[in-house]
Amino acid sequence: MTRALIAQLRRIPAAARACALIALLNAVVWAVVVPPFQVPDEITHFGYAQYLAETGEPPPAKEGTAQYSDEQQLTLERLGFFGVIGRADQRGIWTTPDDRALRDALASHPSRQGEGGPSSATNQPPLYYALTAAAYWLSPGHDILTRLYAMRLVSALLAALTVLCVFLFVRELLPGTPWAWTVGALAVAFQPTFMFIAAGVHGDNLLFFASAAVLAALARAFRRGLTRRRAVAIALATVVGALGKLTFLAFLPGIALAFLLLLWRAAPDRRRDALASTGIAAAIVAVPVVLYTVINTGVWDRGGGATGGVAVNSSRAISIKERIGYTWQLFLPRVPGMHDQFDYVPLWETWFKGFIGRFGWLDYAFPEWVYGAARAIFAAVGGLALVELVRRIRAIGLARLDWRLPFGAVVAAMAIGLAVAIGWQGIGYRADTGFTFEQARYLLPLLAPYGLIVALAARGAGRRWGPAVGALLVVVAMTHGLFAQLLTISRYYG
Amino acid sequence: MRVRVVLGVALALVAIAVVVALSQRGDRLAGTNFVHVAGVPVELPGGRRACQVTRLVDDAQRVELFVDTGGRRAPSLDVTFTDPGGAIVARGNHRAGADPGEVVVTLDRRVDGNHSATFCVRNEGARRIGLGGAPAAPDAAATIGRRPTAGVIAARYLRPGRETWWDLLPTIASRFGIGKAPVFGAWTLPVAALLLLAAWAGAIRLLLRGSGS
Repeated sequence: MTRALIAQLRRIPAAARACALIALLNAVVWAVVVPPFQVPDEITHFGYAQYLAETGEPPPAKEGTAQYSDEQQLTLERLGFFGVIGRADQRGIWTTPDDRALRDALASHPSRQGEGGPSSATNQPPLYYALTAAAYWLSPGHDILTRLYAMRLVSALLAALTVLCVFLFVRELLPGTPWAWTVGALAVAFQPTFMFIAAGVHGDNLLFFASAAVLAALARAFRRGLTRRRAVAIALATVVGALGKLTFLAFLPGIALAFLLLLWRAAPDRRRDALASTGIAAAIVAVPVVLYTVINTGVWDRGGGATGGVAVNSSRAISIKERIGYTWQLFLPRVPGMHDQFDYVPLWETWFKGFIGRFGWLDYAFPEWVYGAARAIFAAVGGLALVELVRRIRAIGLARLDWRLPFGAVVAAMAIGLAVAIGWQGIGYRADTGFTFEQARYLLPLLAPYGLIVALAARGAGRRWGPAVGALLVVVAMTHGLFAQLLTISRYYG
Repeated sequence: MRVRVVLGVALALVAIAVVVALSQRGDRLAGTNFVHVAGVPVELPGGRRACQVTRLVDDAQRVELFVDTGGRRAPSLDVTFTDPGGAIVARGNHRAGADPGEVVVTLDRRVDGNHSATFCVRNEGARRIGLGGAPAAPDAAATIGRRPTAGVIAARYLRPGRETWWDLLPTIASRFGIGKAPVFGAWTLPVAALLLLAAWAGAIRLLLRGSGS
């Protein structure tokens, strides 16, 4: 078994492993640059993981109980955390006396075991938190900040694995252009919004990894046919996603569609095998998910599989028409007959500008001209990718797109599922709180298709110039990441 | 060959951009008193003085206040920081005529060390002004005479002169080690820079090898 696993790992191209290592280094740098708890919602994710590490159970999330342990609460206060988030003109502690006061306060050994009160993270399944809880215990130091950085390393490792999967995804879709695999993976490895989340203790990191892994596994199955091993790979990635973050459930209809299409495409003499593989995959997914739901309800007393977070009680009923209109306008221009949901353009303000960079607790960003420049670059990238796509379709003919067309439908179904999930939650959240729910990071489960678009764009420059344009796009991504790091340093230390 | 040329030119441009960005001169922060401007909670009549206990940080030579004058020019402002024994740690005066909003008062010395000080602002004009800050309970709020106001005054401390980011690099490196795992220190920033350099070198090498250059 171990030997087989090592043999499988050795089959991963050296360039893929190198891309993953580069992503790991970059994520570690981000983890060092971003001060403790300054990644959005890192406080709640850390709180969940600490509770799990200290008690062996996920937080019970009972109303009226404290979200954080005394140790975490004290640390947040001594770091000046609540005065810094959302206030770009404020800084955390910078002086030796403040640092000493923090250490002295922690030396009083405040309780590490909190009450596990409800937070934005507590309704999530525990897989990511179990991984970070392991780092919590393996940490070389037992003070909260050393443990936090040990836990951040788990996120950095997951980011590296995500980049590895992006590489494998692009390889399946552009098998004849090895240099483009590296271009797609490195464009993701330096993407600063992704790296900012990878810097922190944050459940999204497992979601990003599972999403990229399932997309890579699906691409492989579509290109090479559904075998038992490939079905198991898809199923395992799905289990990791489903037990990692509830958002992943939005991908399940797309994954189900993928299995239907894979069965339909299987040669008649292989169909029986494919059907058996699908059954095994379904069992691999169903058993742990059902088990988790039963334990969550019966043993941990946390309600169903998706309950136990901050209560959301919609103050008013939201009609299906309203939800559709909201979700549509989140991504597309409003069409006649739809009630106007936004007084800004979400495609630009939320998704594009957020993807280019809005950091911290959404409290600092690049100067406005950067987004204009980025728009021009992305228009060029999109244009080149489109040119390449049309050229490929013309070259091989629509009829010979064989597996690519149904696979494209699967990716589209997964993307639509994600968009619907974001819209569904977004309108409810806005109705309850008056605040905007959506953040660009919610689209990062689609990092693999993003890497593919960049790789396609490079190939769109033609056989002679493609590698050079690919190299240029990677340097642009690296520069983007570097200036995001400098911006972050000026935000917190300058 | 094309990849080599493109990478060479692109990296040279990046290096120039980084040098230009880090060479920008500007006012650099020495710290704040941890109060942000959430509103104008301190109404200060002409000729009166508002005081509060606050932190004063090392290297500060200017203090930035938010002054609301209802659109008129700001009056002359006198600022003092005194230690618990009553000795003046630093003082400064801003002449009348500044635009309202953020007003920077230069102190008579560069502050050495971190202090808990009594911070007073005296409005030397005739009209009432508002000072930006955050609401606070009466026992923590700034006082005018013995009367507590509705909040505390926000103060941002600036370092002397206009510095480049290069000038600030040693200070940033030392700030990197504060409020983090105990193992972190001034060495963390250079090590992070080296790690990033390694990531960049790895990426460039991959691109060169991948293209067959």
